[in-house]
Amino acid sequence: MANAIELRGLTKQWGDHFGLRDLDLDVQAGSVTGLIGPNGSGKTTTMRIVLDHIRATTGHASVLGHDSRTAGPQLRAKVGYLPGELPLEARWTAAQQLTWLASLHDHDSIDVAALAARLDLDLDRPVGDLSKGNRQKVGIVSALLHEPEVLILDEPASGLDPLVRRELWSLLREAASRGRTVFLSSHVLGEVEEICDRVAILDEGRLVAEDDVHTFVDRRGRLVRIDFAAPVDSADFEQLAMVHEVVADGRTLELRISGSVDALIKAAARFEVVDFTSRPLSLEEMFLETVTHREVADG
Amino acid sequence: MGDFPILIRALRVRRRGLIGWSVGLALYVAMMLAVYPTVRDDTTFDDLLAEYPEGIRALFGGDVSITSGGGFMSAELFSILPILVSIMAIGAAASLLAGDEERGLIALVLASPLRRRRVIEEVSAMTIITVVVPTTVVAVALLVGGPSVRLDLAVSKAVAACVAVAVFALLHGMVTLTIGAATGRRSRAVAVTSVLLVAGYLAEIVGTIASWAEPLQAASPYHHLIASQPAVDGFATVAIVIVLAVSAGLGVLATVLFDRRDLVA
Repeated sequence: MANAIELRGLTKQWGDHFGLRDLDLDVQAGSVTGLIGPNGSGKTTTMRIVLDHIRATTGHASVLGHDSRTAGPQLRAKVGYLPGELPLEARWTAAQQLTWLASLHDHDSIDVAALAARLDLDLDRPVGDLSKGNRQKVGIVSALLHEPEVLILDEPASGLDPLVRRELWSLLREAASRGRTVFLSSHVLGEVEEICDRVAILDEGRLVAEDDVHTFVDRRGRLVRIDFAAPVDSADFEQLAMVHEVVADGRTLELRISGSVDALIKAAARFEVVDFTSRPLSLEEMFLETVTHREVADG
Repeated sequence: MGDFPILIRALRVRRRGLIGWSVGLALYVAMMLAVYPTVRDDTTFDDLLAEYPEGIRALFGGDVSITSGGGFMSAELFSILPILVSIMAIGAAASLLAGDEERGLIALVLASPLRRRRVIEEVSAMTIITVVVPTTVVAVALLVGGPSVRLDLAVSKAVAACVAVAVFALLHGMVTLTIGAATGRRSRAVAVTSVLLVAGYLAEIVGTIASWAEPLQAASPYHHLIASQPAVDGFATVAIVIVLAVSAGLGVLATVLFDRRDLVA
């Protein structure tokens, strides 16, 4: 599959502060790719370089095969952008706002009313009267207005209630199924898990992980909690190959494992087990683990 | 819509302010016209001014008779109008470029096929409209209301004075635009240009009184465009051409500077 966005050796430096460090990343055409990371990790910086709003100190970004620095208007006509903070005219209605935004793109626009209805956005109210979530909907409609080939969405689900968020995800999945590419950022990892095909984790401007979201989920391991009738020796469990970490608290053990739970169950069965729960790690926990490990390694 | 989206938006968001200022200026002209007959028929005003020190006289237009239509309007209208219209131009240029950049609107615009150069061009166009509208209103008010109070101000002189004001204000708008293009900071663009505006005015006043300030006066656009009293002496063609050329040059400079840098938001 071709790449819609290619970032090569992207570094952004402000004085001695690094916004990005040597970032290599591919966003496959027709995929929904999520960029996740804590605040200040470089998500917005990456998107702003892709849009040529800011320039990389070194390295380059290409979109649909064109260098984003030099491609100019023809390329930007194919890109839809939702900024993290959408600047709107308080007195204008959502419809007026969208008509104006559409006028920036010299292009026939899609059916705004239908899209607004799907997102439950009232087009006739002044933007100043809208809640944060409704303002966000205006931005989402505006990013989709000219049917762009590449969508760059900075925290698209921010402020949306769960129902609208689900509608947004289906809009984005539909776009991807028509061959559009969606490149979005989020710091809510559950969102990324719901919608993305691929995920890239940034921390302090560095790419710390990048993979297919399912591979991520499969590889991320499980959290097992066992309540015993009497305290047990955690050392009996630490030696098991698939156990990475054991936290003992009285008669309770919490274990982080990867792979099959079979050996663990057999080891636990030697004692009287009161309760046994096993669940996959959330991306949140995994993300924290990835970032924390890096900090330990760096420190 | 679609051909000049930035200009069209600028007109919509700044329309009320522009109309309000223009109505205010028209009322000011009407008030001056209402006062004029008192001055016109009383030559003691000229005698009174002759008693004043040179510096004070300079504020009222030097040795030109204040009871003449051109002299009166130079002293009472065209001395303050350039400052007011400049403030309008500074406000428009600052908020439409650096101000809109700070709130992320320019980034949104530049995610569309529009080039950065177009942003500078359309904001420049709005700056021109911001100086042309109020000066046209003043010119029309003078030409319509003048005859009723027997204001001896020729059409060409009134137009010359209004053109001078527009050109003067445009220069300050373009300085603001250029600083905004270079820095992306609204407050910095306003602050620097305001200092230049006040400095140019003070240089004219001080230059009239103190010889050491004459080089400063010679560098002041206020001196060449406004203190030359176009309402009395007609078009200061050379000054107008130079200032327009400088303004155009600033537009080019702004384009280059804006194109090279990172957006601030």
